Amino acid sequence: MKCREVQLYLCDLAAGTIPPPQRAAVETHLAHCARCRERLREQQEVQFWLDLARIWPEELPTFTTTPQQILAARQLSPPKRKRPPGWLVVGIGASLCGGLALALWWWLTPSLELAPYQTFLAQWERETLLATPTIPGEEVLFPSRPSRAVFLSYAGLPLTWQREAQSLAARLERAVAHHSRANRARLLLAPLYLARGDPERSLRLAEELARQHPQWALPQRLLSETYRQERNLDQALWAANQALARDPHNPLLYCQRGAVYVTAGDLEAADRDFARALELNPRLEVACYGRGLVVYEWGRYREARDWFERALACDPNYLRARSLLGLVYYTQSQPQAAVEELERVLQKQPDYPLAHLILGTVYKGLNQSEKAIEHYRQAVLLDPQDIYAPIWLGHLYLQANRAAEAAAFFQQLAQQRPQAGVVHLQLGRACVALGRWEEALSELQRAKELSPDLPLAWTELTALYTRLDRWEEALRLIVQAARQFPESLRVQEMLERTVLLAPQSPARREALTVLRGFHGPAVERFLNTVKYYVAQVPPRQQRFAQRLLREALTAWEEGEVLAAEQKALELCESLDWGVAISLGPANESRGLRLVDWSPPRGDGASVPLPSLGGRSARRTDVENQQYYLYFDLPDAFRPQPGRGTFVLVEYYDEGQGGFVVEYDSTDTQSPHQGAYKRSETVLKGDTHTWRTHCFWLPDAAFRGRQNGSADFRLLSRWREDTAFHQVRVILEPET
Amino acid sequence: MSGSNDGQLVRAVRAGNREAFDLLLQHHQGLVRKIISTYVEDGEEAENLWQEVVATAFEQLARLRRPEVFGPWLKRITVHCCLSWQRRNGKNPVCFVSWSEGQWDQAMGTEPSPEQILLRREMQRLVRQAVLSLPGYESDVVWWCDLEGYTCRELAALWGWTERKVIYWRRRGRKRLRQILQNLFSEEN
Repeated sequence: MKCREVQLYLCDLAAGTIPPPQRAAVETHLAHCARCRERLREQQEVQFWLDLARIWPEELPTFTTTPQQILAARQLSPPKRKRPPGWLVVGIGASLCGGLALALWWWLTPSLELAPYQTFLAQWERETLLATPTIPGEEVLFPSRPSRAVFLSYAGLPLTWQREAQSLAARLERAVAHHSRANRARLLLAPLYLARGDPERSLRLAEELARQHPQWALPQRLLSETYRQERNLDQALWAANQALARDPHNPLLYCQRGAVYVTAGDLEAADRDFARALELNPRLEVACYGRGLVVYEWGRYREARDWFERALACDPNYLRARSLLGLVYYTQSQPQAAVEELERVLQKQPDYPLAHLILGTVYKGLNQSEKAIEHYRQAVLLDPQDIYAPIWLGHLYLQANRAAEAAAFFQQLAQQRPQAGVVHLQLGRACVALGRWEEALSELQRAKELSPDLPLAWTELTALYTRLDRWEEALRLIVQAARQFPESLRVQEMLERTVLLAPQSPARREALTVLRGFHGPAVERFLNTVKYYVAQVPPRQQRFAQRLLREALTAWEEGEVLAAEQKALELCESLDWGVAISLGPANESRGLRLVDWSPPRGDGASVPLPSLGGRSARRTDVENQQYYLYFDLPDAFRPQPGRGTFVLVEYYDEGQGGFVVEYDSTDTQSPHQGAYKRSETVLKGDTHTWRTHCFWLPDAAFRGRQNGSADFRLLSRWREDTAFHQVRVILEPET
Repeated sequence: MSGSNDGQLVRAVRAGNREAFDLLLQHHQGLVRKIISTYVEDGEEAENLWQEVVATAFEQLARLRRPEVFGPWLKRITVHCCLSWQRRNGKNPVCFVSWSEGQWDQAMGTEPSPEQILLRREMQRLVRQAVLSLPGYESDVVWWCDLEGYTCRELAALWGWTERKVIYWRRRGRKRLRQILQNLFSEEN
């Protein structure tokens, strides 16, 4: 028997009432347990007094009166159990129910205060729900939609936010571990994983929640956002639709689907969803932002500005909307307003990388290289995911002849981010500028391996190979690039240049075939047009025209696509087909008229150049916000329905910028109902020669809907002037 | 003391049967007498207290939640009436008497003298008062087990308790009683 059991019997033992079986066991225990013996002694001491007290006196008081008599004398009525009044019962019942409900609520709700998480996530969600739109100059890097997906992965989250997400997620994880039913906390945890750059865990958690609560819309939305950020757009769209099926009146879910559509490039569908979200909640700032983004992408900048301003009216602290408002101002040639907006963003959040990026772009446009470099540096340091800022930073460094500084900066950055291809690319470019060929080659090769989606990495490496006279490698590389990026004008340009300069070899022939594949359809169409017009020329010019045509066709048949095009262009020039204008201090118009903007007003006033490379010319005046040259065609000169138009532009190939044709078209989806449809961009190669580019405009209408009743305009891009000598327009014949 | 009989009688009184109340008090008159005698020696005062106990018990009977434990409930009412009477008459609930070594010997001697009998009776009263001054269950259990002679098992069956519960409160009560008595009969006092 143990001490605890013995204690149960000690009172009885002391009183002498213990049953014999237990007595023996207890006494056995007491024989060897001093502590229990002491307890027994205490009990015996008490027992002594109690034994004394239980001897009752013989004469206890006797009572003469009976209870009945007492009750009668005092007139007491029979006792009745008092029942509580009804209101008291109801009150107590209600209090109990309330208390129970309160306890249930307390039990279901995690004890952790969730407000800080919700505040953080609401802010984060607005900032990352929608992708960053096109920034002027982006086409240089990512000419096609698929390639832009790389750029769109840029989240633009401040580092402080990412650190906060890290800390909040750790705290929330602890809370979730202690509350198995803390669904609200788990719903918050999934986007926190996403915010701190851990999409796998977010996906796992969202899938688990979706499985456990198939009727909930929120897990589906989380799935959609995670898939969207992972670029799994089919799944993202499916999940967004699932969320909407569960909660069709939730405007945020429409915004989510709109964001997926924006990322997928389906702007019309995105616009529909944002409009629907605004119908449900006209003050939903994310929806306003989304509509602004869509119309910005369509080039409707004034509308975009209105939408961003509306988003800011709903929430003045919406930093991304304010940053994009700054971008719109910049795009609309109001750089000072842009700077003001962006500085306001940085006052509120000094480490906001998107504001630094756009501000860098604005200062670059204002030719304030120092400030631009400073902001790009900030953007690079604050956002490791950003690939846009490093490229422009490297470009500015090289432009300012600060290659050594660039090399040192990117060298240090490459050590911190060894897997960032764009950093190696810029380091390679800086090494090229410094003549450190071996190092440059190694860095550019590394950049191509790490960022195979970046056309610039391919073209820069090709350029280095050509500089080192390694033609075989250059040709092989650029052909591979051309197959991978069939829409990249930069790659096409590099392919042309390499083919022109490379010595004859099997690799060059292969490159020529690829080049023909690029230009083939347009050049063939142009040759057919030329063939038609040759047949129309007067007999005295027939012989000359036939000779040039024959040479062009021979070159075409031999695969010399560029040579064929050049011969055809020469023929057009010689016979002066179509309408044309030679630009200079005194323009020489042959049917085509340059719209006169003197005295300078609007954005189309050009600067005459008496002599540039041996020819007269006119150039844009970017410094004074004159980006365009407007042209007006004769009223009778209209393309036949279904037939295209060729615009031949002779330009001076100087600098790194480029230009496009914006023409009045029948395509109503283009900006301003098609009045400003944009052609492909021609990139300048800085060869300091006069070159001719032939634009083929398949749907030109030339109805004079542009500024000054113009039919088309030449736009000099990326804040760099372009000089033009001659512009010619030829209509595609009916047959 | 029978719990089931008490329960039936209490219900009968509540239903308006006054004779049942007579029977109930008749069953427990001994208990009341013992308690009153612990506090009061005067017969007239005892009669007054008896009447007060009867009247209070009758008035409060509606509040008794478990009729089976009428005995302990009546005990508390009686003690309460006695203590109130003591307060009303300016008497200390516990009579602290200074006991010398010789007085002890006298009180415990085998051949009691009239003084010794008186002293012993006084000591008995003090011990009983100490038992009655114990808190709720402790007092009940010690009273019935150690002064009335019930076993723990009997008491458990009577009140609807477990035997362990009775043992627990008995141990606690006796422990507290020992402290009270030690203080009461210490040399200093």
